[in-house]
Amino acid sequence: MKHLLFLPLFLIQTLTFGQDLSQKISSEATLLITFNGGKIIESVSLEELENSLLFEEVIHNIIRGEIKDVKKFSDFGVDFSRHLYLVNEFQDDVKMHYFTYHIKDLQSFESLMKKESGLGEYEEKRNIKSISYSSYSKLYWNNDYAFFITGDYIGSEYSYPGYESNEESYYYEQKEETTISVEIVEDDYENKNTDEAERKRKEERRKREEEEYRKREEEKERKRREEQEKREAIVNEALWQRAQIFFSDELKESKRYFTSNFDANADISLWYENSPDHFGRQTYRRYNYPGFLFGYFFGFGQVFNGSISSHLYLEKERIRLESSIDYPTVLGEAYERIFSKKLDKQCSRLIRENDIGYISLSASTKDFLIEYPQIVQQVFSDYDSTYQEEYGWLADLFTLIIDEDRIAEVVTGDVVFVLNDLTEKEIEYYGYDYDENYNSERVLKTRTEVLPDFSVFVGCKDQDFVKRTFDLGVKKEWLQIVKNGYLLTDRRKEFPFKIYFTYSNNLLISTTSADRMEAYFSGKVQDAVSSDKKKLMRSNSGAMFLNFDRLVTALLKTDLRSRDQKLFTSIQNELTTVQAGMNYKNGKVLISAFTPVPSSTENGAKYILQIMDKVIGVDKKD
Amino acid sequence: MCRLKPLLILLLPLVLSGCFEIIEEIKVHTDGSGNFKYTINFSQSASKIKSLFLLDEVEGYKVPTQQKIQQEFEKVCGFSKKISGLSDVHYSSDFDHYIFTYTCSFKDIMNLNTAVDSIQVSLKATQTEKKHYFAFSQSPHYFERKGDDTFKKAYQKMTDSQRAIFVGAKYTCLYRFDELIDTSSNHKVKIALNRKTAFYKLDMFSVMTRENALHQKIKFK
Repeated sequence: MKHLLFLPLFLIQTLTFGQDLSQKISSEATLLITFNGGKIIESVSLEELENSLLFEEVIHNIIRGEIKDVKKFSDFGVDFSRHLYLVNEFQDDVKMHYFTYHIKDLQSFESLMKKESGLGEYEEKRNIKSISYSSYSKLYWNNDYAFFITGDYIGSEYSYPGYESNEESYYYEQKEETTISVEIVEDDYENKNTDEAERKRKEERRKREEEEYRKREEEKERKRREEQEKREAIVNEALWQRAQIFFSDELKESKRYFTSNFDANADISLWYENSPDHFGRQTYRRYNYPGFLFGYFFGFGQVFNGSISSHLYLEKERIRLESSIDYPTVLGEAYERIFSKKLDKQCSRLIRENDIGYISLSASTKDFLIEYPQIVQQVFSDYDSTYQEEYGWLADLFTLIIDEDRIAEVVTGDVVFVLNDLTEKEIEYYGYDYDENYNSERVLKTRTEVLPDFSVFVGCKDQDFVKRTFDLGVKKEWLQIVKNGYLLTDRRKEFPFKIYFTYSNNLLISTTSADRMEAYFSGKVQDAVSSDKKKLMRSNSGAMFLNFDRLVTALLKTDLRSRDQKLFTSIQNELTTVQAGMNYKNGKVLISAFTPVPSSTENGAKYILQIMDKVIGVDKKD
Repeated sequence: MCRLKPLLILLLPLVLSGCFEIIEEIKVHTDGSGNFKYTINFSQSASKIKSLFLLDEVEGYKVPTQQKIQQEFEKVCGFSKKISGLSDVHYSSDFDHYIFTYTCSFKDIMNLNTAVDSIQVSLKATQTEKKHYFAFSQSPHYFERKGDDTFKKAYQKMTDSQRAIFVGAKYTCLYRFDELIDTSSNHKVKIALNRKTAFYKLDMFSVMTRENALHQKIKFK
């Protein structure tokens, strides 16, 4: 019976996709962005969009006036009321990006495209019409839908990096020779009485070197052109093959990972498959290096190395973003254990309502130390299994050495960063002044610099250890004792602000203000943050809050450049707040964020358009 | 370009403000000899650079030590000293205010062209052909600062965040002479009251994007 209840839902989903271009997308896709045209148009009409500065900017600047006849959306002939898809796909030697959409008015669409056929060659083959802009960029269409595709060669045989590195080493070699050449010319210049035979010999040598250089350059250019042609031919063929598959029913039944995460109610959705299994290890290393780097050091990189699914909802009262990260490995369970802890209540009590923003993270240090060896072992095995045995041994050694309970006493795993305010500081610098004859004088000048006023709380239960650390700091003259805390000694003036430390209620606190340090020490913070924001921090493993209005107000008090001043002034009254919470559930990271829409604006879509128009308007006035 | 990394890394923290200046100063005597002074002044961004030296790496570039920067300067000076016609080659580096200066004397303006070429070769920053950045002639009597693509080529290889560094930065050209200046081909160049110095200050962004940004021909009375 239960299954029967799900049948209508299944049918609805099947029908939705049955009419949708998502069936044309390959399971090899690694990135998919969908625009739910119908839903967006419900919130902000095409007429409103056409009258916006954003539309004008897109037509005149981004398309750079090439499509001159477009005055309104209907001129495109595209069906904007249906889903539009932007996709990345990897094939053996070619990385592809394509944009696909339904055609509403074939005559308008073709008339526009053919009118602009000067941009590319028009062709019709196997019932597929096409315009080729270059070997790397094509537009294909039939009577119902269009497919704009671009490709890049990523194979190794004719790859760009290999070619460039050869060129670079060759290039340096030439420069060394030039140094000699330059000095020879200089010797000639200076020593006019040099023996004629010697001069001729040098001249011949120089000519010979120049001739050799010219030949090498020609050979290099010939090779470059040859490789370029091969790359173009490979990409050209790959795009045509992909187009043929796209316009057939070949992929109709294939399994796609992203369909399970598809939400028809979202205005914009993003799905990003980010795993070594999917990309192939070499490609993965090449395109995900930062993640790998963090993984290398902390194993934390893997937190964001799962498949990401994100949905943006432009609602009446707020703009909401719901994201989840799904892991390709068993690491999800490990992370869930580590991040199952909630933030110490004391941390949220120290936040003030007028602080600009904060970020909090709560992790169980003990669970982290238990799981860490396995995480690192898994991360390395994902990328390269060559040293799997060694990693395993190191992981066991780590477990033997580390005393998880003792470390967890010292570092509980609660961390909060608070951006309290922005302050200005007069900075002295040397510049040059000139008199009427432009004789220069080096003079000491001043300028204003914006600095963050911030605080950091770190959970720490071992008061004795902290006290001994402070005492040692004072003995070594790294710290100075001040009322209720310590001041970092900055003998080399490396920091543009003062940094104070104190310890109170199991929190190690550092901050840039002495008054604030005392308030934190006493635990009596005036104008404490509201209960809903406290709840945000306490009920999530990670939380973020930013008051844009306060941030912009603080920025406007500083010495901004004229363009920035105009920009911030124009959007100051539009901006509200943004908050986000992050949790780990069922092996997935769940992130939920939202920003309220001001009551003066109808909905989230109009709110975004309004802000974009204001930003564009600033540059237009300039 | 990789050898320019120490400089680029120094520039990276300026992304937020782009506050630095370069001053190119040349004194040319009647006989064509003279002095050259090149100053790079990061003083306005000293606090940010100090913070940067606390890091190991920025945007994938390893942050150089002060010692490494000194070594690069030593190397540049070493190259210059080998060039005949050049003397009194010195550099100064002020790591409190981040002001770096290179000075030398030349017998003829051609020696200076060779010096600039050699510096670029030592930094492995440009291509191979010999360039004429400066020219001085007695008959007809003129001084010329020619435009070149040295900065533009470097700029083309930069990422967007590296390019943003140059927004707001300034480049100043100061050319001093014994003779009186009649005219400059560039109407934006200011002539001193005593007509012995030509002063031209422009945005670094223009220097990085336009080959002829620095070009001017000064004629004497």
